[in-house]
Amino acid sequence: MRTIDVDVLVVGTGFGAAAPALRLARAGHRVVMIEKGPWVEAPRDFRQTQDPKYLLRYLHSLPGRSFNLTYAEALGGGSGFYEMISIRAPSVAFERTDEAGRRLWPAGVDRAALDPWFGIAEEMLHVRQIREEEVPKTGLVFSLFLKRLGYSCDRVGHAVNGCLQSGFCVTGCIYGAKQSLHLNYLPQSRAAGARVIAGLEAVSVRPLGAPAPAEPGAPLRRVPLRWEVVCRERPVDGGPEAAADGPGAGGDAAAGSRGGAPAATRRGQAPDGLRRFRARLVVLAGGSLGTASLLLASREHLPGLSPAVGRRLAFDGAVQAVGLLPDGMPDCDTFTGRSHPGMVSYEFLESHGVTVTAAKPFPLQAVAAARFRLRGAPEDDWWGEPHVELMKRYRRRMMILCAFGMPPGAARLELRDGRPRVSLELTPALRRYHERTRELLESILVRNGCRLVDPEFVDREGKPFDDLRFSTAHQLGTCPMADSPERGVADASGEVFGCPGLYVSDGSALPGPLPVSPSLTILANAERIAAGIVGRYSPEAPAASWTARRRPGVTMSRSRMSRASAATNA
Amino acid sequence: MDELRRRGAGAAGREVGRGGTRGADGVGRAAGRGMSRREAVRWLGLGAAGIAVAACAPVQIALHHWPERFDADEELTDRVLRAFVDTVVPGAAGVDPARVYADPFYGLAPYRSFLAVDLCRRAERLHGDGRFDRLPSEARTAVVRDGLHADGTTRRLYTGAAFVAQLSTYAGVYDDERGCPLIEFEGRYRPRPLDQVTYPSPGRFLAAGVTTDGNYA
Repeated sequence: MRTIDVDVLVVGTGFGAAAPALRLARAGHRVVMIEKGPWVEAPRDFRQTQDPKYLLRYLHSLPGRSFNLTYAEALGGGSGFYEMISIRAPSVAFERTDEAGRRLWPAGVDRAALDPWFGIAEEMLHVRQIREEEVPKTGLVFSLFLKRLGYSCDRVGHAVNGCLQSGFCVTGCIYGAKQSLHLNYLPQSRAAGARVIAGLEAVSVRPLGAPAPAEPGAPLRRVPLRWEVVCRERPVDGGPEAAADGPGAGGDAAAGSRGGAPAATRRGQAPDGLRRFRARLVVLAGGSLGTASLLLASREHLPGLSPAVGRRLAFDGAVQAVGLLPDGMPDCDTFTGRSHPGMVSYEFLESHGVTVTAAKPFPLQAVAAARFRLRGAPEDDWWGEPHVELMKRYRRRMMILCAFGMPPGAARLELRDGRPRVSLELTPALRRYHERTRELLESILVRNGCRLVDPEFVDREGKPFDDLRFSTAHQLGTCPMADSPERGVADASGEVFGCPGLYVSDGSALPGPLPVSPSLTILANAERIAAGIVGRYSPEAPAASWTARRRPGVTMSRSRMSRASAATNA
Repeated sequence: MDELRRRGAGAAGREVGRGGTRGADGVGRAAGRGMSRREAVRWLGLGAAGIAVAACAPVQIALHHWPERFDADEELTDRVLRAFVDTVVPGAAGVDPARVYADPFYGLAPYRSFLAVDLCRRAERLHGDGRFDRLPSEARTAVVRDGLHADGTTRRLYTGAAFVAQLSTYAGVYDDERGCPLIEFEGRYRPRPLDQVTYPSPGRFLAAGVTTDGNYA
């Protein structure tokens, strides 16, 4: 097994990983990021297609009892395929309590504390509130629905720079307008000296000896190598991800070069397919599924690990309702303009605990997820002439409403036979939440004159589920921050209880559900955690000077970072 | 013709191999000796004792109800499946069943011949004409409905086949440029001015907001 020594190993390349990698590399530490999925050269590798073979190369699902989660496995995590909606989690989400009435989030972490870090994340991603004249037709009609009922609706932020309204945000923006991490954090991290290796899966993490807390303010390189992470190379099919391991493959070349060639990767491949990293710090940011799975698989090496890993998988409780627009209502357009319609209503956040928006699923997403049938129509109308007639109205006359909320309870993630399994208990409270939310959405549709369409959700074979089932791509909280190891896995700084130098900085660290897309909150929290780690150790001489190669993105000034740190400390 | 035969036998062989009783190589050798499809299916059935139920039932269907004409006309399967797609998604021009149902990605390749045979068998039973592809639309609809309400395994096969037909048609998975004209899905982006994706005077539509920047406090 090849062994590589580094200052910091960051497991993952998504929203939770990007900030620690960049900030620690900028502080002069030797940083390696590893990614389980394939390399993505953005925007070159993205395609405007509905071909599931392309999408399933990067996006995967994990079905479980009453629950299904979707996740990305690719360089940049979900950032290549998200809808680019970027919203700060509202304060109410941070005040969420558990069944015993105790606040889920650790003391000192709330919206106010995160606001400076939200600002940094927004600047890095070019987040800007969508202008009135950019709102796609579907967003406008959705807003009109709410306006007619006297409800509020807000234009929200999108992480985009130079949008061409091509509408294929969720398959990866081929124009490099959507601000996936490939255009900002990742190239900046590499320019600062971080190495990024794709096709490498962390399979275990264990301490090297008894890891002791580092002396505050000590240079990181004086801290001993405290953690060992064993990784397995994953088979790649010879695509561009082969270039992922260009620089320093196997620890035998200088850090800081970019891209590399397939030949470099071949040189770096370990004969047994395994690599061992020894690191002074390890930042786990492989997503709610990946991080929790890694910790659970490593439990025998981590005797002090909290039993809370995977216990409370928080999700957004997404509920949908579909209606056909009445005569006289202007057309939507599901297939053009930005994937996200740009409008969100907070009207029901306090009354129902949900935000409401419209959705614009592509045909593949719609058909793969649900059978559409007019309410009251015969059972067989999900195919044949009646279904075609309905689908002909899909683009312009069908409105799909979606609520994201903070449902009661949580799902569970565990390992069985070494594989992650998810399950959700459909409690009466959860059923009531779903029913109440569905009624709300249908009420908005009906009061606007819509005829309801039943989306009958289906499994991978197209067979409808026989009971309520939640599906999400916004899974959080499998390794939550908390005030004590009894209640969570990591402290407010992201450091795993009882494991000095082992951090969690991704969505798994967020303790509760969010009623909005979580990407910006994950990134802001990761920025906060990264600043804490950077502040704990003396800076080293930078490994490489920062130069932007493709798109410079935004370089954060020291003063802004300092202000955010000061605000957090205060 | 030979290609179709090879493809059919190979696909079935992969499924049996998965069941653990015969590897794909065995089927490949059988096909290589020039075994007819009927013979291949019988051979598969004889050798398939103990394979998974999901794979076994369609084999049995095919063994017991394998019309002679499928031997004489290799393209019959494609015509029948094309008719099936057109029944599930009327107007689905441009979808090539040979491609969709032979595509191993969708998992139906091993069953495509069996599906065609079963459609014809039901057509014979319901309408007295064993050529599903020649039936009028309403009669074909009745046949597909019959299959969708059949026993568990057959229902799964029909449901999966209908699902794939819808998926491939509406999403235009084999042609990014074409998309699906049936539902006005234009496929890959064609540059269009902003005023084509939004409405003028958006203020007419916009409800009052409660935030200044889109972020709720």
